[in-house]
Amino acid sequence: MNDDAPFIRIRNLSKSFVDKNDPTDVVHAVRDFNLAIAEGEFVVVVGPSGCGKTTLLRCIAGLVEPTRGNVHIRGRPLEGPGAERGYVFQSFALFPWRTVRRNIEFGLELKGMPKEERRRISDEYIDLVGLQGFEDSHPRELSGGMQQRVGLARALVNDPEVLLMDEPFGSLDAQTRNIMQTEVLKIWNRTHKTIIFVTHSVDESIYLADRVVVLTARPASIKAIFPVDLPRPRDRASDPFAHIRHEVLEDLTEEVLRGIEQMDKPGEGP
Amino acid sequence: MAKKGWMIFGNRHEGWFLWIAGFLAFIVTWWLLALWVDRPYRPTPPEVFIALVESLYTTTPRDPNTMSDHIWASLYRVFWGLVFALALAIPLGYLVGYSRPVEQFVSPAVELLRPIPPIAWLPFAIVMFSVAGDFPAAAVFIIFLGIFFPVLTNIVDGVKGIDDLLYDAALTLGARQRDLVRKIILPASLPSMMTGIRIGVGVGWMTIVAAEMTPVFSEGLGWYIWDRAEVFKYDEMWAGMLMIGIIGIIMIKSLTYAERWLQR
Repeated sequence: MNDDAPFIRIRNLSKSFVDKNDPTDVVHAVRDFNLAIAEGEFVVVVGPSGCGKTTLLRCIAGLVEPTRGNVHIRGRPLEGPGAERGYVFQSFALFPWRTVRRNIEFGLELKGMPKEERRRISDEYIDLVGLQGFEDSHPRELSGGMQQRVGLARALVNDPEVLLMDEPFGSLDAQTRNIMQTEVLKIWNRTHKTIIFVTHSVDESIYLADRVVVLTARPASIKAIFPVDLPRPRDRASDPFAHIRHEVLEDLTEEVLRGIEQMDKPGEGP
Repeated sequence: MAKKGWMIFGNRHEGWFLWIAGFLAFIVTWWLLALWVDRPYRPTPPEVFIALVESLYTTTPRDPNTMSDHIWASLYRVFWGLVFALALAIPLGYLVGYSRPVEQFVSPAVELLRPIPPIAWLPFAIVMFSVAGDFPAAAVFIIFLGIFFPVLTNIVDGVKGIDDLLYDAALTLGARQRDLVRKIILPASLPSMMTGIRIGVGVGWMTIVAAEMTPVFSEGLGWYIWDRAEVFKYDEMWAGMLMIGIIGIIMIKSLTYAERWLQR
């Protein structure tokens, strides 16, 4: 990994929330997070529930301003949300009044692209995520898996520098989840996007990632990073897979327990 | 995906048969009741229908207006009430829905005035506008009130009901703050707004009919009904009532079509 100018550099990222009405009520969500990510890398972040992983992702997206620290992409500092940092939501966040095609074309519309060109491009991405035939359906007519495919296409259509995925398959049933994991890998192979993927499923993280980043309990910082060098598609039942799972689970469980302890004694954490 | 069924007034009926059957049953029941009761104030459907058609273009010595004139008079008042109500309620609704401080400021006045039925404002409206000798203005005023509150309330609900994540989604797709109004808030709240308008128009229509029955007015469908009853011309009275219902349906359905068109 080239440390001189990594594709994405997250430096000393910290985020605290202060209650407006009671300045002493502070919640530290993220503390001193440092990570360098190479272009085209698939990084998966795992952490206990409530550890701040969504806040972390939102900081990288520019939806939330960090309290301290910064994020640089291609050497340029982050200045807020934008189409170059595509985001996929756990609850899909599709626009219910728009059809599949018009959801996907949203970013293109904002750029003022003419209709024929938009249509051509959205056709490409509809094919990519396998939703041919559903272009004119509305989100409420689609299953969860299909809706998330729309979410994926919608973000990808803007050709983002990085794709941020916040527990995107958390609302899906186990079978659909596995299918979508394979889909994401397929899309990643085709588009060579840099992906930062947040989950609390250890299995999912090892199946997908180039590197698995384990977060501490709140406030989130890095507990450990596990590179996953196994060739894809990975066999969840294989020994090497189980070995890495064991290590990740060990660290994660430690943090989960610490998180539970913390809840018994309310406070700011370490 | 093709959908089965027939389009009648914008509703899909998988069995138009039921619709026709229901309508016929209504007519038959009415007819039977009319024959059974056999009183002048219970005319049969054909009598009413003939009266309705004839009254559209005939006048009587007492009443220089045809039914069509009366219809026009009532609609004219509703129209202007609608225009003023929308002009005020739509911008205010979006402001209140979007901004908590505005909501808190406006809330006491709105909550207090909203439950007052528009017709209750009539005495005040008459006095207020009679200074200018302008009774139609009084009518427009109470219709304005009848439409204003439902539209305001529904827009506020519509805006507040927008999933917060949709704004985030839009921002991560390249929207700037100023795009959010046009691309998210307006389309997302459109169904609520149209519902509010439909309710408001319904209230406004009922209100004007009631208002026209007071001695203040001398034309309009409400007046027509009352007048015809006074001179025992019950077939025309029922014709008037039927006309009120028909126009009500037309107005609501027009709004539904307007909503579809706006969503393109």
